[in-house]
Amino acid sequence: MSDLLILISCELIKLRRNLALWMVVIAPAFVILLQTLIWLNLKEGLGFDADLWLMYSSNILSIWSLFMFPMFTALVVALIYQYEHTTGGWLRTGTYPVAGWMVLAAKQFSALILLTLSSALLLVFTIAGGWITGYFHPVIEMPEVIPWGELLLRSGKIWAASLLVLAIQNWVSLRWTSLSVPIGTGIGGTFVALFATSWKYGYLYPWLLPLNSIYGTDGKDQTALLTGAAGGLILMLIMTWRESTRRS
Amino acid sequence: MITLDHVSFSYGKTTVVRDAGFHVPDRSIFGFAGPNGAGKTTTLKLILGLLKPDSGEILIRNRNLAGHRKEILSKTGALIETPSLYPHLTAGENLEIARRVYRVEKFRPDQVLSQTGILAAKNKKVREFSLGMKQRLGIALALLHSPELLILDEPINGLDPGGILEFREFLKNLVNREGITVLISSHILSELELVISHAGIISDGEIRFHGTMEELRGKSLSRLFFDVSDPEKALSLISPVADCRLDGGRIEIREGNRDLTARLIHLLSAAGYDIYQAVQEQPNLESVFHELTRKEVRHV
Ligand SMILES: Nc1ncnc2c1ncn2[C@@H]1O[C@H](COP(=O)(O)OP(=O)(O)O)[C@@H](O)[C@H]1O
Ligand SMILES: [Mg+2]
Repeated sequence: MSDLLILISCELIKLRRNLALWMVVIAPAFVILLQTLIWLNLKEGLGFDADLWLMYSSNILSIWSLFMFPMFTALVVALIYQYEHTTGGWLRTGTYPVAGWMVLAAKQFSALILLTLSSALLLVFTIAGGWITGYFHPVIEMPEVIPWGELLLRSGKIWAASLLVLAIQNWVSLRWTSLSVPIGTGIGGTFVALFATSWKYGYLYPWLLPLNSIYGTDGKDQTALLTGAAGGLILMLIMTWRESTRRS
Repeated sequence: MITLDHVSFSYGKTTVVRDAGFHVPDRSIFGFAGPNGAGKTTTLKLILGLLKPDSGEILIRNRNLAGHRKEILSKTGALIETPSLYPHLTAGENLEIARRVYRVEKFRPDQVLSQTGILAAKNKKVREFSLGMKQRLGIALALLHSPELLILDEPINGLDPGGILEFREFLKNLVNREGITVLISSHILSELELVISHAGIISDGEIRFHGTMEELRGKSLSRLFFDVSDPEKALSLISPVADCRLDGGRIEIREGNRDLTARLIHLLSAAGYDIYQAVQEQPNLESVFHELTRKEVRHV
């Protein structure tokens, strides 16, 4: 196994018995629960020509990308770095017989793995929630055919456009040893997003990129997707390079 | 094993290690002593590559860490400041992380746990460990990959007297059995005195002494006391030869050794004095240590 894979597997060991791992399940489950309760309480049906699956998942993806994803990311990424900050762990990882950048890359990969897992669970839970809604609601009938392609595409776009915020949280969590800074960044980032929508270039605000990558109009969806994905990857590369040369 | 040559390091504008140079021979137990804040931890971090020196060169096995990082670090075990342990994981899980990173065989964790006497606590979370157990696990982690060089930063801190005794025995056995080189720091030299073969003394970022323990003991300036008849007159006889004074009816010579004692006995008895007693104070390492680490001392 390569050094990098070994280091990633070690990061996953560290996640044991930790809130972070449960958040992977709890965060998407909470959004689905919310949406399912809303729909179960609808008095009337929703019109038969609309694609109910896409309608159902639209609300989920909005709540996810605007609120749950930034909070989840802020918390989970911060925890990954807290393991080292609070234990003097950098002194140990710094003497590992591996290239310095790999330790940081492994942390970012494990953050990415957790985000990917919860994004996948969000999709799985969406289907489950839809079935439950269709089963228990007197009027709403979810179509038999699930639009997998469209659902996957939307989830994938949101996931990719989230990378910039993920990268920002990684950097902040690395540089500030106090847990409150990355958590504050997540809350502040989300809060400002509510106002940034009205600004001309607000759609490029990092915390709005995931949502705009599927709902943006006039090509803004493409720009948002590209900014989030490419911006995130570039920022992660820069961070890995800069911080590993700074540290050793 | 380790050679430092004109190494300097500053935190911002504060120079913490100044032109440091010393050599840790193969298979030695090198005690690195100095008061708190002297720069011990910083020096050890420099050796391990956790910090980069502003100037100077550090060689481990005649190699530069920058060019041979993987090779050097895979044969080095270290415990810097407090043991870096993940408290929510068990001892076994903490070791499993290191086992993967150093590509060590599966049986080794149990081996080092029993070597350090905490095998029974393998599946216990580190959060529930006492300070002494954490120190032991820290040492187990440092030994896991059978290093040739072991660097321990104040490992005795927080151990009770029984633990210190046990630790010394452990260290001796380790070096005898496995022939590794140990660099161990402490702010109390006398705690190390019984196990180390070599010493380096740092104060205020400067290396004030480095060499064998014999050389260090040779530096000790022990006092001589002479109990003689008519001490006042005897004093005037001795004073051209040695730095001396009268102390409660005895003659005290500040800096003495065996040769000087013999010379003075000859001198006094030839002049007809009765010598009732001649005492040489035991060389005291702690006083040498204090002497060497005094702030005013610049060059030794
Ligand atoms: N991260 C740091 N930033 C600034 N100064 C530091 C830092 N770490 C240590 N120092 C200073 O460097 C000096 C040497 O510290 P250290 O090497 O830890 O001493 P020792 O281990 O001998 O007690 C001290 O004066 C300490 O205050
Ligand atoms: Mg120290």
